[in-house]
Amino acid sequence: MNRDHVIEVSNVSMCFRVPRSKRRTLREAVFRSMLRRDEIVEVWALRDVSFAVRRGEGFGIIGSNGAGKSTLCLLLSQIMEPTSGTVQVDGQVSALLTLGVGFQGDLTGRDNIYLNGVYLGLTLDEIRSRQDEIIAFAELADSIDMPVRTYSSGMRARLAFSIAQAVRPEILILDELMGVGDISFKKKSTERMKQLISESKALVVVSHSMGTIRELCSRVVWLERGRLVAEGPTEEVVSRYEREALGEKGKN
Amino acid sequence: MPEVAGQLDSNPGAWERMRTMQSTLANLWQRRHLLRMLVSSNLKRQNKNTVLGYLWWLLDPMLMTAVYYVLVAVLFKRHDKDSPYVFFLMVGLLSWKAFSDSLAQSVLVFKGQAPLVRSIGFPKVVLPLSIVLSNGIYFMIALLVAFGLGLAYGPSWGTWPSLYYLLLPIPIIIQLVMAAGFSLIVCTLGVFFHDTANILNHILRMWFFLTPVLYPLTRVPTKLLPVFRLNPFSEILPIYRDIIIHGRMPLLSDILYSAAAALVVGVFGYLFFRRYEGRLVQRL
Repeated sequence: MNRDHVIEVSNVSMCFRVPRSKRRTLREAVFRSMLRRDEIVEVWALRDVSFAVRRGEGFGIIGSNGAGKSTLCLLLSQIMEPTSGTVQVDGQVSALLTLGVGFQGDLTGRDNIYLNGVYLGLTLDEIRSRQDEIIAFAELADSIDMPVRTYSSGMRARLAFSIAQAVRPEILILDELMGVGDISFKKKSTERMKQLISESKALVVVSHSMGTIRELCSRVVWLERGRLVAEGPTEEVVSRYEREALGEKGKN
Repeated sequence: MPEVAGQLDSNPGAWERMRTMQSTLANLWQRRHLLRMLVSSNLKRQNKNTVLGYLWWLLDPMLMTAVYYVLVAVLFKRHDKDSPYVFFLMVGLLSWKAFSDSLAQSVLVFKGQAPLVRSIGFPKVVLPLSIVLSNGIYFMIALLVAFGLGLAYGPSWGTWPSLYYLLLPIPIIIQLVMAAGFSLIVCTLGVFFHDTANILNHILRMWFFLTPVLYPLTRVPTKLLPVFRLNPFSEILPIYRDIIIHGRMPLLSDILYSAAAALVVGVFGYLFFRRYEGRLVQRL
């Protein structure tokens, strides 16, 4: 692994083997194996993708729906393993792919800070020392001891983002979560993101918002139908993407 | 030794597996805070919502104790007289409850937490393990309640108090390891086959009657005894009963047998889970 690189993705392909029949029960498995093979459809979410993320940079992943961006995030955060190829990561990764998935509605906001904090890899001591900061950032001082099921969706999102930003991981992976909260909170969270890039080894952002990508990333990969279309400096790739992807849509 | 080297070279997978297995156990240790939080939030959540809270967990085995006592001791009059049958039942039912609940709750744990598992990277073993540990804690509280009832029951409660009570962690740890092993197996199967939960339900019910909860192993005909001993859970209950009811040293053979069984089940369950862990996320 090159010493300047924090993430190296080499020749990665990802294939999902989806059984044609949705239901999968033991009975069917037994009968299928006796009578005929289960029909399995192979879906290639990524094909032979290679790139590297350098130390200290914001790195963007763009592409239209179904391009394989989210699959790539799952691989980078080591939630899944690729079918072939390798993903090498140098450092502790924290992935925020969906905000607030770990929330337990019946527990209070404070309990959920602890629960989500440990899910994201914090130790209890770290959470204890950062919880005031988290509550202040989320602007939830009044309702932090109420059950999370009583929160509005904006409050939930703010709490989730505030826990996530407190993790301060070496490598942070974000999948579409800039649209959190009202305008002032959005501004605050974007500022925080920029600060995180300067503190961490790298930030990987997936977004459909080219504004976000331009603001946070210095380099970008563009994926389309699982294949890498372009990799390079943000302005170069993004402007080409805007021209070609929008042009394509215009034609249709 | 060129031969050995050759063998290793031809089988790099084994080394790879060993390395990843170690790293996962290391991962689990790294994320021990997560396990602790999951257990405590399990306990908190389950006790916050309901008026009776923890009593709901206790109610089932206590009611069953009453039912089986009436059935076996009052109606059939077929219980052994050498120990208070109520406590004989209670100890068995509490232990079985903790064990079977762990399995029954583990089957669907990944389906229930699918969005979480798909979006945050953490060692997935912690989900079934937190269920096993939560039930273990409930069980230990329940044992205290049973002790309290025994105290109220009076002098026929064996030799009270006894130094052998200090041995109680042994069967508890054996039971937890065994529950963890089986839970890891069923939670994996539960992801790949949707009807595992239904099947498990029936298996657990039959397993209950084939486990010496309602009767001592000495009641089993000698011819059938080897079959009953195949049940890994059958030798745990005599350990509890020796310690709690009779206040005496449990049989060393019981301890060794069930510890060995728990170890086999635990290691097999862990390896089985590890083998399919990578494909698990895709199947959710």
